[in-house]
Amino acid sequence: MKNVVVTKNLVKKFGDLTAVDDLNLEIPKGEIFGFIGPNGSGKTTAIKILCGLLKPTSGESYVLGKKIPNTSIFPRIGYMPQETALYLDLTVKQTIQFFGEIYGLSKDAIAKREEEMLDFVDLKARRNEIVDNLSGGMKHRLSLAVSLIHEPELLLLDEPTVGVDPELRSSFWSYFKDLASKGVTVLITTHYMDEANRCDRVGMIRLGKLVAVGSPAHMKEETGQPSLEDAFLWYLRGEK
Amino acid sequence: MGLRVSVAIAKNILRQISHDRRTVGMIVMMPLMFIFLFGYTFAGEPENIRTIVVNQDNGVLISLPNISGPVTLYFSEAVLDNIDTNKLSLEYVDDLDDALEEVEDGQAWAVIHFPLNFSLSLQQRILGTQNDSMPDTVMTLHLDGSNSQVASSIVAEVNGAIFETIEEHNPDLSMSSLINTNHVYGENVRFIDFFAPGIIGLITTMITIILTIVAFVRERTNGTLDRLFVSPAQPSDIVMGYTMTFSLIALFQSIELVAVASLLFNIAFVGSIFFALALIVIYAIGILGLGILLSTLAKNEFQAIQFVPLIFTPSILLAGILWPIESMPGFIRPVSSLIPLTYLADALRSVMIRGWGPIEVWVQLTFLVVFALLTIGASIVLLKIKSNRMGFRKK
Repeated sequence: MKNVVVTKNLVKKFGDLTAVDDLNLEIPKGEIFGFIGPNGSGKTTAIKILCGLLKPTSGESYVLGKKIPNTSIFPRIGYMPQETALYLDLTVKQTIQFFGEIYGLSKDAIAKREEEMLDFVDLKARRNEIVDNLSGGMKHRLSLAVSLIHEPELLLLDEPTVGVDPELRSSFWSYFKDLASKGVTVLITTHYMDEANRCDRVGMIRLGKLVAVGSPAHMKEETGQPSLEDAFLWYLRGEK
Repeated sequence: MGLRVSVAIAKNILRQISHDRRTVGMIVMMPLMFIFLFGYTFAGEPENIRTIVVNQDNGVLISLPNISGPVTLYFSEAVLDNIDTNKLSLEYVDDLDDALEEVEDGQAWAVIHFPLNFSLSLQQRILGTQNDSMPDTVMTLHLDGSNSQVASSIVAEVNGAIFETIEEHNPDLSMSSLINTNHVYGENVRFIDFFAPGIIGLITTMITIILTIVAFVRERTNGTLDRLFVSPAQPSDIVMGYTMTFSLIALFQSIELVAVASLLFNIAFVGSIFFALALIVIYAIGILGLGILLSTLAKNEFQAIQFVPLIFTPSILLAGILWPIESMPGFIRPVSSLIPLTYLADALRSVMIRGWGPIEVWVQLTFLVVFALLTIGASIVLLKIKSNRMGFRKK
């Protein structure tokens, strides 16, 4: 199993709208792959199909060597939805504990992961605070911690850095790089070009169609543009 | 995963609720409010009903064995003595027209009018030497019937007083010699004993449906349900977790209700408390399943809460809680038999007043168990569909 994520002619239609249009993708193990594209271009839909939350209209996909949908992949993937997706009336500590229990971690393992994760997202001091009282950025950080609690092999992160300050964002990325070096595959969606630059490969998606795929350096070279942002715009114009 | 995940979910819901003071307050206080309001509004019967008496009775001459010479006997006085003055507060007026005016003005509820020959005529009736030609023989009750409960109280009280008077003078004519009432069940059962079981069911319906619908819609709109769907937790684990928590809450509330109702109103409780609680929990599980099913029809919490009166109103009106199903028009009775609360109220009443057990209420018990299995089963299937787990590969 070299490719952790494979999609073949994946199509998802909502009525007349084609959210994902003939998506073909191969993401090898240990790669950080970034989806970039305008709002409503189909990034979230693609991620939800890979999680099994949405059924594709046609085409097929394989995650961790299993044909999707398949329940056996759930303990091995970490999904961070775009919305906060937390229980607002729990404390930070209780949130970590709950999801630890859901993934069947032992008490000791939960305690250990709680320390590591709260340290990573810098919420140690807020441990006993009610989630609803946290700022938007803090909720987002906790949400990321929750998706990592069970040490998944594949991360599907839908805009994980929205509302997170630059310093913490940078530490997130070094953490992702670190995970990737240990063989964890990361599929991430983002609007930030500086983040896209840090991906191993980037997929530009527009109106559900994958417009270009490649490393940031390769894209700049191919388009002759000075920055990834310019390359992105170049591809978008080319499509018209 | 199974049990451990269900327990984690159950614990999670309890923790969320415990951090939400208003919801805790609702769970604890709502049953108290219900039992107070229903207990004090319905427990009593009308009292101090202002009633005017116009007594023109001339009396009748009779001879008594130990007194020499005839004595005048007033049957009207005897009747009035038999009236419970706590219920009817009597006032005496000489002129009939003045008395009637009070009723017409809404100052009094009724006029009891004893005519000239009342005693004589009653004596003849008692002795069986009735003479139809005699004028002014019948006592008249002039009644303001605009409040049916007050009116029926007056009629019942006056009728009772007359029967008692007749019985005192001729035991052969007594009602109790004609009708011998034997209470197979429920001697001294009051209205509150009749409706308390229904109120317990009603509050279980209310709290369970509100909590489940809102919790589930919130779980969906927050995105936490998606998170659970992408975790090893199975839809059945999720539903079981909810079932554990809300059964516990229903159990707590029923114990609270029974305790308070017993202390304050001394309600009848003949049967097994454990069986009664088991019935309530089975019912609560059914309502919980219904709540999960309904929550999928709502886009948000605002839409979800609109289902509450939809469940609550037929339950309070048609389940035979306050008014017996026998008093409803025939075409509406089939609806009653579709409302789960009908079966719970019926079974609980039998347990509490008649002391019945599972064997005697097997019909109701079966209905409640089937209702719970159906709604819980359907909600698990529905969650499986929503999470695309129908026909999922497991390996």
